[in-house]
Amino acid sequence: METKILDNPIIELKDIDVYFKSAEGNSLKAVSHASLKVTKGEIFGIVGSSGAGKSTLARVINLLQPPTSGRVLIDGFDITDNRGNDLRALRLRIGMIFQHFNLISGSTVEENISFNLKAASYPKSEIHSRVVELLKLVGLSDKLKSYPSQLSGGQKQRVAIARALANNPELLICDEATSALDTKTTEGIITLLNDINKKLKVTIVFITHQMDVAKKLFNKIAVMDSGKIVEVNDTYSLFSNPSNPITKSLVSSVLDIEIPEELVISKDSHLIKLFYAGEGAYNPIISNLSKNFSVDLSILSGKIEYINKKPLGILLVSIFGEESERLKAIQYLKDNTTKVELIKKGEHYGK
Amino acid sequence: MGNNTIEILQQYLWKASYETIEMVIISLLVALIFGTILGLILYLSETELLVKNKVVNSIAATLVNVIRSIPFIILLVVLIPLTKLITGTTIGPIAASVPLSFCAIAFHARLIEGAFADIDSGVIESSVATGSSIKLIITNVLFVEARPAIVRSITITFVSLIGYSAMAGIVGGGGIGDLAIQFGYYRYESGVMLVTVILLVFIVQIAQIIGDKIAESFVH
Ligand SMILES: Nc1ncnc2c1ncn2[C@@H]1O[C@H](COP(=O)(O)OP(=O)(O)O)[C@@H](O)[C@H]1O
Ligand SMILES: [Mg+2]
Repeated sequence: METKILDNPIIELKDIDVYFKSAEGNSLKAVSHASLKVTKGEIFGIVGSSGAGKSTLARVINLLQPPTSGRVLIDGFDITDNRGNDLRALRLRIGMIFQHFNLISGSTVEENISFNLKAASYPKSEIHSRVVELLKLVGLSDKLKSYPSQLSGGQKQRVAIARALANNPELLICDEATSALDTKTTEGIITLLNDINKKLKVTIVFITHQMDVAKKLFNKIAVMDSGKIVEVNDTYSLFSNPSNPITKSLVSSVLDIEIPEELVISKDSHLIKLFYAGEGAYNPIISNLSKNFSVDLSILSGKIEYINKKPLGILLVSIFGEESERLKAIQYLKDNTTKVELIKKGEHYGK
Repeated sequence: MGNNTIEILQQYLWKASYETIEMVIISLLVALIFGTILGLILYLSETELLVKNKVVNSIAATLVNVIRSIPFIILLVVLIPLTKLITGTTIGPIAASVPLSFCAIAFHARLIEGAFADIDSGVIESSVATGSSIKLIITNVLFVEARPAIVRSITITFVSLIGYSAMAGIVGGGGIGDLAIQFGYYRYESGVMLVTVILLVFIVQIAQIIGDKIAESFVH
């Protein structure tokens, strides 16, 4: 991705803390020393398990949740102390969508979208045509007069997206926007958000606990755990080479192959898992292996995942042969693939 | 039903009904205006994302609590000087409307506060996130989302006012309740008692049915 060095990041969070006072009077650290930068135009993901502090951090960006300490910079301007009209003006530039859509249930689709336009004092006579245009963008032109209760979850989220885009925001914050939707509807929303990001050049910050959404949508990912940002990387690197244990467990939830429990491997063999990042195919390596070392290799299982259109392969193989040859072969694999995981040596694998 | 009963009803029922309607309508209108405003203030001032203000909230809440904690029959008496000041008299349905209004404002304010508080907090959050003004949120979100609950609140306030107006009648307000007490109770005219009770039940039923219908039409 191109980044202009002179441009300020669209969002910069500096050392954000958010404390909540519990009923018993103790304070709960929902976000702790969180710093991050989001570059204009990217789709930036914040992932982590439930309760990690993702929503709280996302709500700090538009000050729905003022931070206990730390600074929030938007386009290089410190907005942490903005209140009243300044804060409202800022929020007009930031769209937001939610897990449960949060549409006004007593208003039609048209009225829902008009609300955002009215918030920006959009010329009254042009509101209707703008609403029509927005509904076309999200593929819901026929739902102008429907009430939210008459729409499916995916349609409601599309209305929410149309509404959030009404005032041409530079930034769209999505809090678990696909978490209440089924897989197929999620795909549709992901495609739509990708389109919006490309066509309208809207920067997207997307919070989720769903790693398969992360894999398909994000350019860059921050991983949160217990209020802290524990790892930040571009999506492909994060998936192919996670460093933090939390990241590893999140990544393995979508990027792994099961090892059959009943698998038995013979005495003179190693069971290993290969991770293979990048464009090169692994076929040459596999065939080189059998050529250069006196080992037999069998592929037990394998798959290729595409992340940001780049392949990431995983293979489960067993290597059979003399111990010394086997170790040489494994060393060769270590040198030529992204990661080699030794699962088991010899004997019985499983329960 | 004896001749006496019919005579009494012919002579007093219309007047009594008119007085009841007068008391109830006046105090309902006052409650709709001031109770709604007070309820809105209570809600806005206690809600973090809107205009949370502890001072305003505790003043409004104290006002409401004080009125609500005084038994109505005592409120009637306590407010006599004020009633005299406002209406120039302490007798009749117009005078009775003063304590009724006070009571109804406080009662209605709590119902309205509850109607707003029951709105999905996510909807409030997403509205605030748009950068909209509080005024626009009040008109386009709060009053839209709370509409069914507000209609139900109005029905409840109306029905309660029918009850309170009977009490107000005893201390000089007149109305159906007064008729029932004066003739049905003090003069042992059970027929009058029965007819007024049936009439009150009927009014309350009709109000409830209409209120429910309107509330339902606002649910989407
Ligand atoms: N308004 C609040 N008051 C008190 N505690 C809160 C509030 N919002 C969130 N929390 C707490 O902060 C922590 C982080 O919550 P959240 O940001 O919602 O996590 P996530 O979105 O990652 O699931 C949780 O322990 C949650 O209970
Ligand atoms: Mg969350």
